[in-house]
Amino acid sequence: MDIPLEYFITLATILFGVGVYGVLTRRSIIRILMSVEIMMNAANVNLIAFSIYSSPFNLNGQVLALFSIAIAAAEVAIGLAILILVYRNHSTVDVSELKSLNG
Amino acid sequence: MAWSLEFIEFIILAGLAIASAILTLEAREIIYGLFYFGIFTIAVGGLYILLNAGYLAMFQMAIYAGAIVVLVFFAIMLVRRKEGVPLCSSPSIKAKIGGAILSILLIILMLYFVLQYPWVQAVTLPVVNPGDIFYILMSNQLLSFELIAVLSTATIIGGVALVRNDIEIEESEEGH
Repeated sequence: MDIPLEYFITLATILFGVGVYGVLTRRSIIRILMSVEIMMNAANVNLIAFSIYSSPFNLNGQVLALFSIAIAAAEVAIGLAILILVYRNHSTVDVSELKSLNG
Repeated sequence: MAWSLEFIEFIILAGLAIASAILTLEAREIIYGLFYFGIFTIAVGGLYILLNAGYLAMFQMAIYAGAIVVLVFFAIMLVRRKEGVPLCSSPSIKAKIGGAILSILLIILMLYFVLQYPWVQAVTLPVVNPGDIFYILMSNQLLSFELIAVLSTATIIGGVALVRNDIEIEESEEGH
């Protein structure tokens, strides 16, 4: 493959920046969770690109990315459970209105 | 660099991924944002296929475009909103511009340092059977695989325990 590794790193960096933008500006918990998922996807693209370009015959890097995807799924499941719990208790999913833990 | 077929595929998939990631955040209705998130995960899965990681692409589409999108869809349906009232206040223009400037600065800073290193320019992709990853999962990485399985089980039990709505601590009255 004649695509340089820089291209994949650049793509992953841009995706990570989009995720950071979402976490910084959005107020809905669901959109913040999706932004975190975008950032994790950027990290996975980096993991697989480094794995393929450093040792194409070794699949251990891909196994690491596989575990990363599985942990992302677990994170989303717990995050959505917490979201539903927050909505049940506070009737809102706006993070700027959830102030009961403010110091 | 010549415009090889792989390069054109990369450009298309990367453009699709970045555009749908931005649209995930900027779509007016959150359900459309979820739809764009599905497109984003499929585009990233296409990038995995381009990188010769077909098994991982299958996993990506099954978990992200399948499970996570459906999970978020059900969460959106459970969080009901009143007629005509938006569920969440949208951010002000000032906050949007501030966030955009900060994230663009972050991207430029990271790229400035990352691109100074002489990275690999090209690699010869071997013909690997995507199923070979199973042999690694079942031999070298067996312990990690089992730990992931335990983690998933704990997540399922924890999620169900968090959202059940009949939490009553029943004390036995018989006194033993």
